[in-house]
Amino acid sequence: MTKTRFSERLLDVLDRQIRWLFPMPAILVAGGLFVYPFIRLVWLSFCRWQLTTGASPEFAGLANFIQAFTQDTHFWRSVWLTLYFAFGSVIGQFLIGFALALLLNREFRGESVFRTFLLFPIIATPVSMSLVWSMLMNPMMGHLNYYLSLIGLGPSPWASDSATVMPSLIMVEIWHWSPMTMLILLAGLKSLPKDPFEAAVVDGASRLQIFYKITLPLMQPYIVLVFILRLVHSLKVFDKIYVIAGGGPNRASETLNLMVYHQAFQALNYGYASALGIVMLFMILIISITLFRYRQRSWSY
Amino acid sequence: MNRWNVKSATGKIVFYLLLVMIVALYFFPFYWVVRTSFMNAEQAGEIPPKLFFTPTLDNYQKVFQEGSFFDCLWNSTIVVLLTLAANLVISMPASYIIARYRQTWMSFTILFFQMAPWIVLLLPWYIIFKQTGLYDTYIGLVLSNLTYMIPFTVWLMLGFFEDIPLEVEEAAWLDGCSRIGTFIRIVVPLVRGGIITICTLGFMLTWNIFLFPLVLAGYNTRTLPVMVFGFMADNQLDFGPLSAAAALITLPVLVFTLANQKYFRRGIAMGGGK
Repeated sequence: MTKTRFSERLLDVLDRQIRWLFPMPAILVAGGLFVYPFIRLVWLSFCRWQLTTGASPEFAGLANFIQAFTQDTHFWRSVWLTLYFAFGSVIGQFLIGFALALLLNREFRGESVFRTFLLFPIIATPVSMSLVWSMLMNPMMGHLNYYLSLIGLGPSPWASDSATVMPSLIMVEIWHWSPMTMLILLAGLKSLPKDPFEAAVVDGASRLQIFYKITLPLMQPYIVLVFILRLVHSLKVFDKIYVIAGGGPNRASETLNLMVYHQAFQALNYGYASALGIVMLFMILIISITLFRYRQRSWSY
Repeated sequence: MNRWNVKSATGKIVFYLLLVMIVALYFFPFYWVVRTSFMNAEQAGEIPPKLFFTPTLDNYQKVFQEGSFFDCLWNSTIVVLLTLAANLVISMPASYIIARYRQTWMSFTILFFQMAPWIVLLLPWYIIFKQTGLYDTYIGLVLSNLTYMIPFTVWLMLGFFEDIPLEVEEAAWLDGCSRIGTFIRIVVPLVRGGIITICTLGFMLTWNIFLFPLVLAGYNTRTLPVMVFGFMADNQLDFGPLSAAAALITLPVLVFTLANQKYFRRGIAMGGGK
């Protein structure tokens, strides 16, 4: 009897505190996985710590940051490679995705089958598709060079040469994600109001004029959204670059992401890797916040 | 709208030709990997590539025998199921409270977490997981997966919870149902569509994740993407077995997601995915 009353009362108390009880697990997990590790990360970034020696971390002040900014010749190159990869692939994805969206913005037979095919690259396991692309791009045995020769182009070294590795990786990234930009932009095109277009047709505007004067301005919020989503993602791509090129040849594809990984888990310079991680974190935060602010401004017109 | 009319016969032909070319470009790697996975080494190396050949199952046999494929399949399955279950239990109540009490600060904090690059989180995690014994355990992998699942679940479920009229809940309270009881018996069944959407997208993200298990899984909990990467190092230039491995690990996620295509589409339209 008392037991039921106790459990009832407990339930009653919990019920009244639902506002704090319900988010608690999420807050605990976020605290355990983000806040505490972040404090450890900041501490490690001020330390010299070679995982190989077995010694504990040794405070070194700003030494890691100074090393990155002034001594390590690869650091600025990897910043450049990160931005090159991100902007290159996002611009490519946008142009191709927008062209596809414009082409598909109509009703036609087989639409659903066609859209299903375009979902394949988004869903498939990235490691496995990277493996497939690395086989296709193999300079000796890969089939891409054979197809190039069919249209009269010479063989390309693809990912095995430092001059062509980045464009090759960007090509795979565009293949992977342009269907996604297409889907977002197509949803945007379908939601646009019809009146301005009808009015323009009545006024005798050409197709090109309609596109520049009406479609583009009306699509601006969607275009900005696509750029934000894809750019924030592209700055953090790891799988593709790691599986296809491994950061090479001659570190020509070693973006910040891979540099942190190599320093931490291969060179075992854990303190230095942490400092690089902090720099990368701030870089991504600044870019993201700038873009979000731009988005808010562009929406208030 | 700027819909080009494809009424003339030539217009139609050009349009469909374009569609076929686009599909061919996007679909080519999938066609190639399935075809090569049924070829022996000699056929796979032939240039110009052959369209017709006698298929062999040797490559699949090799994948099954080598590299503990079934252990990794088991690991992947367990990690995916545990992640999906834990994610729902943790994220749904949080999302419900944010929707009902309009605690936007909470949702913005959560969104902020999603921006953090994974490699940066991994640095401290690796040390902490080693110290606490979470390294190379299912729980460790599930926890790492929760970091991207929770933000996107909370965010996506908000819309579903906000769509439920408060009157529905008030009626249940008047009948003497507790608030927790109302949530479990009335609210959760009403957001079924959202739950399926979350699980469809979550299956894809969790099945495909590579970086977390690469660092946090040791020999015992290796998932399929990590296995394939190891297999790649062992079988360089042996295109047949490599193709079989690549095709095998991506088949389950393709089948599952395409079977739930409606929910998957809705999910990415709502800004999920990545």
